[in-house]
Formats: sequence, C-alpha cells, structure tokens
Amino acid sequence: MGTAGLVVAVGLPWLLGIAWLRALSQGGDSLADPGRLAWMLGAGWFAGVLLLTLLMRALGTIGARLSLGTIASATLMTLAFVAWIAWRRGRRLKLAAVRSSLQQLRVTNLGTGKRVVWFALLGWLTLRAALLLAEISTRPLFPWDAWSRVASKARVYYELGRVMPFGDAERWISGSVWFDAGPHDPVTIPLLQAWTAFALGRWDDVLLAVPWWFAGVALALALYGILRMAGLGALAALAATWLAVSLPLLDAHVALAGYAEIFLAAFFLLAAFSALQFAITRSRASALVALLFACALPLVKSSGAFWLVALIPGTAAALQPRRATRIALTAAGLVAAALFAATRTRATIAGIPLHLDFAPAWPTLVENFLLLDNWHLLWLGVAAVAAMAWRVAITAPLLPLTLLTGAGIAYVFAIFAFPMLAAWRGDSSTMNRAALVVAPLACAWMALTLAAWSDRWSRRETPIPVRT
Amino acid sequence: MSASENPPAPAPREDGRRLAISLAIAFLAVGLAYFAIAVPGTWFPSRSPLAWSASQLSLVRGTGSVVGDELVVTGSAPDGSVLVSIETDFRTDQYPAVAWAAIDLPEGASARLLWRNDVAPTRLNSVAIAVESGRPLPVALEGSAAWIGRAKGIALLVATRLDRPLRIRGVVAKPMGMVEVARDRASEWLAFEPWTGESVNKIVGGADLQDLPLPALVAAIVIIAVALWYAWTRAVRRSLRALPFAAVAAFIAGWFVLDARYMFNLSRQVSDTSARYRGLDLREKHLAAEDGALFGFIEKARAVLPATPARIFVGADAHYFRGRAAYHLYPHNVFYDPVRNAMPRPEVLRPGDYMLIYQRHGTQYDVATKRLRWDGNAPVAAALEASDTGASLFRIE
Repeated sequence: MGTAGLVVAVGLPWLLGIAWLRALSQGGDSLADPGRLAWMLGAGWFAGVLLLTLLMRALGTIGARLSLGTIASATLMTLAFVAWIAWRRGRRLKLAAVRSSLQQLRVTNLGTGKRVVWFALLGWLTLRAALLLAEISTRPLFPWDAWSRVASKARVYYELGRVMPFGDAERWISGSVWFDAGPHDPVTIPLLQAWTAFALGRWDDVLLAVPWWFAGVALALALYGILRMAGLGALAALAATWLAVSLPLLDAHVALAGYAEIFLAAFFLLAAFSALQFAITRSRASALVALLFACALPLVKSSGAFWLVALIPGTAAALQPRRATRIALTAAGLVAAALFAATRTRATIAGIPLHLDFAPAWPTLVENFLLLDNWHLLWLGVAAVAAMAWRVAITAPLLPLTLLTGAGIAYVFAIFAFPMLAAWRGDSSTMNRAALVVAPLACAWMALTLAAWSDRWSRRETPIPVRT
Repeated sequence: MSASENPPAPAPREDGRRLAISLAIAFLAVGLAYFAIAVPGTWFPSRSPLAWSASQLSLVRGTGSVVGDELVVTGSAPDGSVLVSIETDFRTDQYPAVAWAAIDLPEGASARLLWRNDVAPTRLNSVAIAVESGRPLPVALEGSAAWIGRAKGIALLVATRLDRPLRIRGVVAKPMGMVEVARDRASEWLAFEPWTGESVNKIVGGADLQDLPLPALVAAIVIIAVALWYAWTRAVRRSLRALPFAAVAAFIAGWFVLDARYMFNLSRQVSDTSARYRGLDLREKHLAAEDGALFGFIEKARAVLPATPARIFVGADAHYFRGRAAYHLYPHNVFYDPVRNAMPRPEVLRPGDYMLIYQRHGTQYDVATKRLRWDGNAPVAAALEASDTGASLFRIE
C-alpha cells in the first residue's frame, strides 16, 4: 500500500482542490494564460488539503468513523459535486489549454542566454526538490513540536478512527480527554497526517512527511503562477520563485516535516493574492476562494487569526482604491495606538495580561535576519527594494500588495519588539518562524515592485547623456 | 497590480562587464579589509605551522591509548577531568593561535588551553576554548598578556566528564597568516551543519560560531559592487538605465553563492541521513534514531499494555524523553508534564492506570511489598509489568 497509498493520500485532495478552484474560476480564465495552470496546481493542493480536513471534521461531527473508506467516499462525492458545478459553469479542463501551458515551459520566446538561465534554474530547483524528497522519505519524524503537538493527535485519530478531544491537564485528570503538549492547537494538520496514515493503511511516521514535500512544490507552483498572472516575465517569475523556495528556513520546514508554518505561509500568500483578485473581479466565486484561504489561517494554527487580521488593511485598500492611502494611514495609526495603549495598561482579560513592554532585542534581530543564513539575503533585498522603489510601491497598482506585505512584516516586528505578545497569540514560536509566514509574500512583493520600478526607471529620461 | 513583461531593463554588454569588475573589486576590497582586521601579525609569515601528532601527546589525567593516528580517551580521571599535554618550545609572537584537533567532546563541555612560558615558568596560564559540534575551535592568543616569550608546554584540559570516547588527533600552533585565516573562515562556512532540534527555528549557515558570517560578507560585497557600478557608470557619463539590472544581477549572484553553500550542506545531510536509515524498515529506523533505546523499551511496554487505550503517566528527568515516550505510546491516553520534571499526586491515580518511568531519579519500587513511591510521596500499590535498564512500567492497583 506504500506508493499507491501515497498517491491516494496526495492525489485525492489535490484533485478536489483543483476541481474546486476550476469551478470557481472566472469565465474568461484559460489554463493557457501564463501562470494559470501553475496557480491552479499549486493553490489546488492547499485548497484540497483544507477541504479534505474540513470533510474529516464534518465526518467526526456527525459521529462517523474515520477510515480510508469513509473519508475517500466523502471526498469523491464532494469531488463529483464540484466537478459537476465546474461542468455546469463551463469550466471544463481543456487538454489543449493544458498542453499549451506546458509548452510555455520551453520559453521559446526568450533569447539563448535567458533560456540557458531558465533551464539552469529549473535544474537547480529540481535538484533541491530531489534532495528534500530523499531526506524526508528516509528520516522518521524528527522535530520537537511535530511529535509532541501534531503527530500525537494524528496517531490517536488514526488508531481510534475518531477525532478524539484533547484537553489540558485538569480535564485529562477528569478522564474525558487525551493530552499532548498542545491540546488546544487546531486539528487541521493532525487531520492531514491522519488522512495520510489512513491512505497508507498504517502508521508510518516516515512517509507521513511526504505531504510537506508536496506543500513545498505546491507553494513554488502557486507563487510562480501568481507572479506570471501578475504580468511578470517567465524568467523573472521563476527567479523570484527560486528566491522563495531556496530560503533555508523554509527548506528546513519541508525537510523536517510536521510543523504548520509552511501551510500558514502558503495560505497567507494565497489569501493575499486571492483577495487582490477578488478586488479586481468582484465576483462571488473569487470571494469564496479568498475566504477559504483566509479562513484557513486560524484553522491551521492559533496564531493564524493574527495573520488573518494582517490581511485586512491591504484587502480594504484593494477594495477601496480611492481611499487606499487613508486606509493605510488609519491602519498604521490604529495599530500604533493599540500597542502604545498596551504599554500603558495593567489590565488583564481571561488571565492574559494586556500589558506589553517594548523590549526589542536588536542584536537578536540583526543576527537572525542578516548574519545567520536563515534567509540568505531576503531581508537585505526587501530593505533595498523599499529604499529604492518606495515611490513605486505606494502607487495605486502596488499599494494593496505593499500593505499586505507591510502588515505581515509589521506583525513580525511587533512579535520581536513586544515579546509578551506571545501570550496573546497563544504561540511561543520564534520570530524566525513568524517571519517564515510572510517570507513568500515578501519575495512576491519584492519581485513585482522591482519589476515596476525597473519599468519606470528604464522609461524615464536618461539622467546623464549617453556618450556617442 | 501588474508588472513589466521583461524586467529588469536589458543591459548592454558594457554594463555587464562593469558589474563583473565591480563585483571582483568589491570582493577584493572586503576581503582585504577583513584580513587587515583579522590577521594578527604578518600576512605572509615565513614560518610554517608547528604540528604535533597524537603519538607525541601525553595523557596526564584520564584513561586511554593511541589508536591509529588518534589518542582515544575512553574515561575521565576520578575528578571528572581529562588533561592532555605536550612539551613545546616556540616563540609565542610567531604563533598567535593554537588549534586542537579533537572530536566528540561532550555537549557543553568546559575546555581550556593551558600553557607555561619561559618568562614566568612556574605560572600556569589558561584560556577557555569554545567547543562546537563536539570540536574545540582554534584559540587566538594575540593580545593575551601571558602569551609571551617561548611556550614551554601546552595542554588541553577538559573539565567535563566524558559521555563517550574523546578522540584527539593532535595540536597545531599557527602563525595565522592570511592564507590560514582564509582557510579557517572557509572551514567555518563549509562546516557540516546537521539537523538539530533548533533547525526549524534557526539555520546558522555552517559552524555554530563564525568569525565572519558568510551572509554578512556577501551582503557587503553586493552593496559595495552596486555602489561601485553606480559611481563608475556616472563617472564615465554612461546611462544609468541598467541600474535595476546591476542591482538584481549582483543580488542574484550573492544569493546563489549562499544557496550553493546551503545545497552543499543539504546534500551532506541527505547522505548522513541515508547512511543512518537506508535499507531499514520503520521499526529499525526508530531503533536507530536518537531515542532508539527508549523506543525499544516502549515496544516491550506496549506488549503488556491492553489493546484498548489505557491511562498512562510518563515520568523522566529529561523532558525530551517524557515527550518521546508519550509519542511512542499513543493512542494510549498518555499524560506527562511537557515542561517540568513533575509527577502526578498519588491521589489522582486510579486502579488500572499505568506509570512509565524512564531514566528518572527519585522513584523507588519495593518488589516485596509491591509499593511504588516517588518524590517523597506516600507509596501506592503497583505491579511491575515490564522493566529494562533505567526503565519500568507499573500498573497501579
């Protein structure tokens, strides 16, 4: 059942997600459009994972026993229903469009030099993917929280065939719940692991990691698709994708599978771009896609609720472009005022102190973001683009994306500057892991802003006359 | 939100050449500036390093012997320390650094370099040696008040009891010229960084302790190269249209250097993981893992536990073992304290509950009376169901 089980474990939710996205796509969308197929494949994986786990929750709620049979049946029925909607809406998958999209990989429109770089980058990405797959398909579950807070639940769900309740020590002693190091964590990721175990037909905490590899691949596909759909050239989009997926900390979260951060990062990216897409189309279908990805954030990790809030200013600015600047300033003002008020209050709510101390550890920030190899040169690049291209970044087309990225970075900064915020978030994970959530979006922002700035720069009058 | 089809602006060949030269100049400038700061004496010392092999070392405290080209120290002295020394006679001003070649020092070991000089021969001088990944790092002694005259004997003191054999290959006194400094930095950047419990929070990028982190060096080179390109292009009164190209190309080049290093490390990690787990089935992989002994005991315990989930309390001094034991025991209804080494109060136990103890002090079981007690609490009736070295499973009665 090993390989076949893995194919089912990965393939079924993926198909569901693709069908769902296809059913909600716009009438004029063609898979032959640059990036559309990559987006559908990448975003489809994450949508499928979320929908599958929602189905598992639903099965658990109605008291059905979880098994490969019940989950696969529910998923197939949903898939059939979604495919029927897609068919009714005329959103069938046209093989000619898929073929045309795949042919774009040959980049025949690029010059020889750029084609060489294109294929070299593809090769480099493939090598990385192969190394990561070799690593995760060999090592038993390794990182701490993966076995103490995630797989602990997954094993119970799998072995008992039910979404058993987890609770804190007092409730455990009363005998009604199970216990682990994170009893209040959301169950989405444990359910994904349990599903993989059901599909494999056994508890195998080596192969349970394989969905994390697919998460890495799907993130790369989605990001490439987003950048192409936003108008970036094929080579520039691939280079930006490489920047994102070559981040050492992101790779560590793929190789050392079991944490929720890579899913959180993907959903944050997908929610941000779906929200921007909705602002353009204003269709109910786009709204549903954006809502699903946004709602995924708190379902994946408790602190996802804060990331959901971070989406608000950018989305509001995209929906109200004429008031975008006012929205940006108001949001910044509100956050600053709230943080300032928190430094002045001693009140508590539900035992959680509202008081925050401004206690930034600057050396730690410099070490983690600039000296260690967590991020290669990402934050230098973000700072450089912000310094060089800030005028472009706040123009109408880019302001919503700038706000989305800025809000994410501001949230990471708040975690760093106000360490007590961890108590509010119910999440003591490190600043680096929080930054990982916004990193793919930051790569996208960097690439799109740089492209727009480059365009403007090359169009402007040459400041110094060319010597003839 | 839209972007140009072909960003950044295409650059003429001349711009590319200027950028390549700017990068080369920036690389040289940053390198030379670093050497000016880091090389303690002359850049190209005429002297070669002085090296002593394992067979020339004396094991003063501890037990061990020379095996092949290594001094293998198998045990500490009764006071818990290991002392290895060598008679030397060299001018300290010509050799400002000393590097011990040793591996498998205990985690968090306290290690010191000891020496005597001919200026104050009765005085024993010492300096701490940083230990990283079980290896002592080179010690720079330039500026140390006691590193004067001639070194009349140096020694390595390990003040932490060994948890596995310590292997010492020798010691080198280094003149620390430019080449050696460069080699030391390169070895730090290329040091294998295996996965650890911290890898999901932090990737160092080579050795834990680095005198010059590679990302900082690369960032400096990229910034200086772009600035040089800009200044040069202005100076020769050429168009600055290719500035985005120059900035992106320099940035990508720098990123690629860092990524190549990372990929090299990843390939070594894959090889390391493969060597450990390749060809093993799931059970064998767990036995070969860091907590293999614990897994082996949990297998034993599971064999006597009921098929339906039982309530099990887990106790262990190390929170790693408490958590891992629980993980291996699911879907049984396990409880442990993830943070503190705390055990439940006896009154919360019910007959039929289990208690799994793994490497924990303060727990006693009286076989004759079948009474279990921990942390000075009142004893409770319990049956021993399974046991192994430092590990037991009890059923509360």
